[in-house]
Amino acid sequence: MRSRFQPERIATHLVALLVGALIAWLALPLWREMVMGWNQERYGLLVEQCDGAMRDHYQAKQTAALAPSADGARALAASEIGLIICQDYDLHQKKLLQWGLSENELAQMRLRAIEARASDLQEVIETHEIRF
Amino acid sequence: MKSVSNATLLSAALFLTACDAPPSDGSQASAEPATDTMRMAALRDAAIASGFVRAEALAIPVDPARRDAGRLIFASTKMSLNQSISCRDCHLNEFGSTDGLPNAVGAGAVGHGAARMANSEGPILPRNVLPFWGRGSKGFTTFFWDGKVSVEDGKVVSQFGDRAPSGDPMVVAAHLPSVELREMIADTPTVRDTLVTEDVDAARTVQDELARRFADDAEIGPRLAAAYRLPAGKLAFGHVADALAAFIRDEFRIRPTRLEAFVFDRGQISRTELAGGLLFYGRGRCSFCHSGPYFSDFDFHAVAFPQAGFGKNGFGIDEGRYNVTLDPADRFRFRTPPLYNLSSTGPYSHSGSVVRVEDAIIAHFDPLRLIDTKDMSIRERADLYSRLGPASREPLPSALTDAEVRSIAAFLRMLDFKGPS
Repeated sequence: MRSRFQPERIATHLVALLVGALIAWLALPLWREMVMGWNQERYGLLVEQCDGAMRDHYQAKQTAALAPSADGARALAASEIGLIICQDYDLHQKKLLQWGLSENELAQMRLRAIEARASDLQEVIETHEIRF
Repeated sequence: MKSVSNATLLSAALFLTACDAPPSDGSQASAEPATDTMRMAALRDAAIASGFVRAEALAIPVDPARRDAGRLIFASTKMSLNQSISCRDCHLNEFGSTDGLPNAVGAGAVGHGAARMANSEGPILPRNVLPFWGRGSKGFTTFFWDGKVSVEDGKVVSQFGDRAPSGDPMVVAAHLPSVELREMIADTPTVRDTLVTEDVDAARTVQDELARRFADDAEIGPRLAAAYRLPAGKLAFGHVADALAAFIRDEFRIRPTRLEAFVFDRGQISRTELAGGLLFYGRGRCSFCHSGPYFSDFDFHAVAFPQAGFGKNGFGIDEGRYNVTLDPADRFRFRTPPLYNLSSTGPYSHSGSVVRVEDAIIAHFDPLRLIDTKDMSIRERADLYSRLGPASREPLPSALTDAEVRSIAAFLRMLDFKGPS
């Protein structure tokens, strides 16, 4: 009876493992690019919508504080519900992290979303310039 | 070998899951029941905070005898001085109590639906027929597109001035169509010469004649007299209008909806409807104006809908509430329409210019998308700019994606219910 752990079979397995690891290592950036490309539009939209919802909420809160009124209270309540889109944003972001994207790659996607609407160089500059 | 196949299947499944990203424009259309308890609770709370109540809380009981007499009056052409049109001709069950047309077609028209507009001689009226759902129920106090009958400080305000025929705005509203030229009275030279005087006495002359007709009617007269415990000779138009109001109030009362079941009885809601509801009360800001038990604040707002037809003020212009108050701030403002049974009451807007609910929603925040300005005359474009001004000062929704608009429409369909057949 031959042993199941013959040296040549172990070597074959090691070679297969190494080849697999090499393929995985080479494929990982491609996989990430694919996940980024597939999700850029949806993630970009959520970035924009959450940004808008946060701004609406901040302004509604300010208005309610400065000039309390029934309309202001209604606007504040609506803007609070509006913040639910930011939960969608968070959940989608966590899903992307789960699929292997790093914080750097998410930041890259956010940047693309912000710049997607930049129609000229000036808007890109305004996004990136340091202001004091 | 088996483990290799399993691994392959697992990889494929994982890959497909990764690729199964939601549509890029925002939300997923899904009829699957929602399970997100936080969001469902938020929607329930928002609906109640915005004034949503059970249907039974809105109903006002009516006298069955008066309602039954009103049913006959509703279907009778005797309500028209020329006997050429009944209330039923423009308020049909098959169109959710409207006529299914952009603009109403008045006295003298024949047929229903598209045939009424295509084949008849009747005059085209400047506005879209309003549905009757909830009219005259508790708190429903502002009537018609421009609110020409309303209640202020507990008093009915209408074109009758201080001679309002009733303290009930529904009954006062029931007095008006029968004296609207071209709506229920054919515009003939005789009518113009003798009745078009814009005073209450001219209206009374017409309505005294209508009351006589109903009193003399072999079927309606005795029922009406019995309902009011009067001899037929003592019946006045006030009784006719009151019976008509009783019928409308009962026949078109709000019934329980799927939204009611969701909010008060823990009923199901789909994921799309839930998303739409949260947009309605949240980023869509719909509930700023579509609030209260009828999804209307009964106030007046401007939305730059396309204008269809000649318009109340002529040449494609309808200045809305301004026609009632003559206050320039009211130009192009219309009463917020209630939203019950929206699916069956199209087309939408004061001139019926929008066929789809989705387009009616889009008109609130992206009106230019519905209009081809190149096809318009300079005058029409100038009028459009006038409408855009007040509309832009309304609490506009966030820019909604098409999927989000569809989800709001799905949510609004939760307000549908089966009315009378």
